[in-house]
Amino acid sequence: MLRVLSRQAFSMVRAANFSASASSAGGGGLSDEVRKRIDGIVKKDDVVVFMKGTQQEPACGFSRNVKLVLDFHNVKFQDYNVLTDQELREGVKIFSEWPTIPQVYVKGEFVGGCDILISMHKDGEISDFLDEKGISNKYGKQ
Amino acid sequence: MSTLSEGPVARLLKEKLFAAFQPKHLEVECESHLHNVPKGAEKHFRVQVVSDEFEGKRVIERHRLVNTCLAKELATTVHALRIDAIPTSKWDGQKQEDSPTCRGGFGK
Repeated sequence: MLRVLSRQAFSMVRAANFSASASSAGGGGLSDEVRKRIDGIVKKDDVVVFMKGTQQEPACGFSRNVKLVLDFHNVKFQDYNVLTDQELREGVKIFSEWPTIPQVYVKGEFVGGCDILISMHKDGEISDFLDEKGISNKYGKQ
Repeated sequence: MSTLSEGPVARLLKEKLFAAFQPKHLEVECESHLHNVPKGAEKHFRVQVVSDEFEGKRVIERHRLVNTCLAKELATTVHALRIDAIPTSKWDGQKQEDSPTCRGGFGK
């Protein structure tokens, strides 16, 4: 049953609650094994996307939009289909403290999801960001 | 854009966002009809929040603030959340773009 919080909490308390609820959930905590697995994945390739479906066949409009932005900028990326891997699907949300899929990582750093990638693309800052990270891209300085 | 009757989840999200950010402008819209999920389902949302709380913060930080505010719902009922978190000084009444149609309805 949904309960409306009538009391306004401080944002740090909410942040703490968020972390606490994630780690205290029965099967919701991230084991060392899974954390290491994900850490290895995001560091193995320069650009990594956890998505629904694959880059050849995205199964969700948001994942497809991430692919379209990266393709538009000629950025090669390694995809991981969370629909075939429940451990990854739930694990990356805790790993990045980001509750939704798709998720984009560049040089091991979590960059954001669909909204943020589109925002960076529209604001024109994605090329600067990619250059800064040493990632080849269409409008980069080369 | 016609406004459908607001469901309980949308109302809850709006109340939480209002309490957390005292926004100058707030839109919460259920977009589940764009997705391949049962009619009347409340799982896909778009929110636009305009608030002083976002001043001087990078876009990923602004999104994290919204995610944190709605963490409980994102861990349970809400499947997808599109966020437009705008500092008041950058707000000029711009409309949030439509969400993509999602052909998959793969649970949460």
